[in-house]
Amino acid sequence: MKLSKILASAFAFTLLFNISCRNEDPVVEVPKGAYENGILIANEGGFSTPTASVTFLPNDLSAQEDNIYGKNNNNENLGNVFQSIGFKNDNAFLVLNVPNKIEVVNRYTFKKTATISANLEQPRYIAFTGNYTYVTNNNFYDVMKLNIYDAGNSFVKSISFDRYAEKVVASDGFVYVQTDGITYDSNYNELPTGHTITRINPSSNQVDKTITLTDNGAIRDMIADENTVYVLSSDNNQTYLYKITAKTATVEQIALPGITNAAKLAIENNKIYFVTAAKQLYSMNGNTVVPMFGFETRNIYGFNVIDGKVYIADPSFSANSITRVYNTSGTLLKTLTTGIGTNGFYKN
Amino acid sequence: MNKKYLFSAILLCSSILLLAQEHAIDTVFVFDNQLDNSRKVQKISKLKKEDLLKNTTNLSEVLRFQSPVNIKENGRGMVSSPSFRGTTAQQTAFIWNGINVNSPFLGQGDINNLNLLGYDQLEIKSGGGSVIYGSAAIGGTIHLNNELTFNKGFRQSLFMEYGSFETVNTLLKSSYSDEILSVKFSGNYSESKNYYEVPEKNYQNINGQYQNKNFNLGVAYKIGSGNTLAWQTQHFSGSQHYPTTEFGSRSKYHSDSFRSTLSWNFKSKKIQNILRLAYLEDEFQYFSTIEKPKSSGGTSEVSLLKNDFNYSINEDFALNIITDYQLNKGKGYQSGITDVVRNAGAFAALLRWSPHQKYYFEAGIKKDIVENLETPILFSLSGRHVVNRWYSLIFNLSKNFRYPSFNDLYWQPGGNPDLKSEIAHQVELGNNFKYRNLSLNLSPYYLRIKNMIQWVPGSLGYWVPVNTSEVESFGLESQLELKKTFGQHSAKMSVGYVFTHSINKETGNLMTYVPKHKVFGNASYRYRSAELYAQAMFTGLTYTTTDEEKSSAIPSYFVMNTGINFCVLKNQQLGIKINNLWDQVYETSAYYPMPKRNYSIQLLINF
Repeated sequence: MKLSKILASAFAFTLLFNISCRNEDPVVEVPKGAYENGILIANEGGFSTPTASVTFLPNDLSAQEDNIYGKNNNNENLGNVFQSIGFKNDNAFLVLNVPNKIEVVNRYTFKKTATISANLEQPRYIAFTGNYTYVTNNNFYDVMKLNIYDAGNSFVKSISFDRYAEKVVASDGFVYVQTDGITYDSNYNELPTGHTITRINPSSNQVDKTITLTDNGAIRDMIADENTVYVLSSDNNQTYLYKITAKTATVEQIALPGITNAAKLAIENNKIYFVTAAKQLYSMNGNTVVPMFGFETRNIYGFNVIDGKVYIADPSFSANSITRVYNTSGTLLKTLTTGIGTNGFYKN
Repeated sequence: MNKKYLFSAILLCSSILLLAQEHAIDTVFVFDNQLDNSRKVQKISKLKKEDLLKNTTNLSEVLRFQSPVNIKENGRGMVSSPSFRGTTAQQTAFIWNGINVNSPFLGQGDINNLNLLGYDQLEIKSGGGSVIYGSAAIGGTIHLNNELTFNKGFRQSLFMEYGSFETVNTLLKSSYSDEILSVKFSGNYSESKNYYEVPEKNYQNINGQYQNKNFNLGVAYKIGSGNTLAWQTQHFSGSQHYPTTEFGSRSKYHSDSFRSTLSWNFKSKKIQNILRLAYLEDEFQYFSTIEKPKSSGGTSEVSLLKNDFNYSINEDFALNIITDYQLNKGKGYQSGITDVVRNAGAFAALLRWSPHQKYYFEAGIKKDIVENLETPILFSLSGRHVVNRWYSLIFNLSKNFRYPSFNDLYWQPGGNPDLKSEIAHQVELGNNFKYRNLSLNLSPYYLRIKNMIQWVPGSLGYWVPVNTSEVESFGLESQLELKKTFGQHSAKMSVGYVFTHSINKETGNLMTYVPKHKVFGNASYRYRSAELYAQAMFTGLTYTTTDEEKSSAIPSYFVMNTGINFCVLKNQQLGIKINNLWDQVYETSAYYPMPKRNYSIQLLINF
């Protein structure tokens, strides 16, 4: 190809882009629903009482709206032990642990569109590929499995694991399952059950790789972006961050010296954040840890970083929880009262 | 379980061997000998067989409609917890024939698995009683009593009931007594599919079925020269499913209890001594999924030796010394509690002084020695003054306690072996008015609990019990009673009003599941053998969260039951009952609505 042709097409492309930009201005965007452009807050609810709920918080942190599931679905109770939310297209999948169901709602209106219940036994987390939905189930006793559903929410199969089935993520066409976690010894000190992350190939829906992490800590969290899966492993003495290239399953271990009991991960704009049991926030600059600030909270339950704001839930299971919102320099922007056992913040 | 059959067999043999000899005259034998003393200085309401037969569903229902106790029940017949005076189920002691039967694991009584129809009467005592009844007798005590009567010959009664939600209750009671021997057997069986719907709440009681059976055998024998031997045994086994949602796991709970007590009572002019031996065994199994093997469980055993010595120093003074020793054993399954053993002993002394018909005073002191636990010295001070014909005043001051349960101490993960006992101080002033057929009791009280044990989320991700809370409660219990008989007509009415203000001192907020107001009323009108009765209960707004969140509170409710009993043939009484007459939609535990209007038909045959 000649250089001129390339330039011409580049020019044409730029022009086209400019035109479309200009065209966009007068177009009035049709709002998709009341819950666009904000944060969905998951409140776990009690174990024996169906007090789970979803709170909506607009991006500008102005007036929150509580119990948006009940409000838009004839005051129906969401259930007990609301574990997590997953998103696919316009749908939000609300994973409910004790009721053994996943309520599928339109993520912008929160109107229920479907319920998934087939073969669920204490579901925990959810992930999606183009054609399938993957749900972990763990009763911490004899059920540790990954359920697979097709795009029409019909059950396809289950894959059982030996010790754990906790976080599940999809990245670059592969599904990764956290297949080890925490148990306790006879003096109830924490012990890792093992150190494995298992990869599922969606083209066959079979296990195609088991990755064994090389430290002695327990796996605490796993998240992913388009190409990489991040795993946090820690104990009282050490913390390691693992970067797994999703396509090749190559593992890079990053030691985080001086940091113990790292607990939860978040990612925003390719930047990794994590919190420790000592209620400190850190971020990663390449492979270097940058201490950020500490939180005033009794415990940390839900945690995320969304649009440059840090969300931390101080949970209560007998009353409403407290959610604190900070900017990245540690200034407390807002303190909110959220529902029972606030455990998650999701960008909507 | 073998042990208890062996134990029963030995006791039965020894009782039979003693069949002989002479007699004295005493009409009723009651195991809980201290209740009559308490009656002088505390408000005790007694529910007899005919009262119990008005609320046959379970013990929760009886207490809800006929006592000041507040009941939190996860739907009809399900997990239920009682509380007195702004405390919790853990500060409520269940006393079976004089013996504290709160579970060593839970520290509380499992009320819908304590059976109802197997007892001859129930007594409900508000206020502290740890000096006599031990750990957990803080808010109040519920006494489950069997009695053995003498000189009544052969007696049998059969009770059958069929009610809504495919509920069946049956009871067969047989007894024989002459001047020196009394034997009573009873067996009862209850079951219910317990499926009900409350469309207003979009609720279905899925997987709510229960069934249980219970046997009692009691023998009392007067040996002569003031000696009586008495033995009471109970075996209960129950299966309770727990309500769930459409796709939720179906779980169930099995409980099996065996209780046996042998009592040797000696009475002379100056001395009364009661030596008791008791063995209690509780086994529970929880199945988180009904088709799978049990997911957790436990067995506890309590062996108890107790002596109650009473000496009348002179006409005015009596000294009462109560000593006991008990061995508690616990074995858990999937709870991290492998084999725990606890030795406990207690020494209590009470001095009673009645200088005049108008005055009565009692002072008690007690020290418990519990293995590996710190316990306080407890005391009680009471007095009664009969001011005039229509007014008498009682006064009580007491220090009571509860020691941590096996779960609090040893559950893994979380159990905290460093827990201290809960300590409660209480003062009350009872005012009794009586005018002709009318009686009124007004009892204001003040109660404070320190070191209350609460499970809170710990830093390592699991819940840990700590001695954090301090609770302060004050309130009023009142009851108005009216009885009138004219010719073949008789009418009875009783209304109780309970005001409770109970706060967590740390947060300053009201305690959860403590309604500020409760009103309960019972009225009956009898003409010859026919009886028409009604029961009503009002419970005010009840907070369910520790932050007094109004939107999560249970709104107030008013529930009424009514029924009629009449004789079809001699000795055969037929009853029809309508529960929740006005179709009230209500919850006593959040998200677990109780049934709407429902019915039952009963037949009672005495022969």
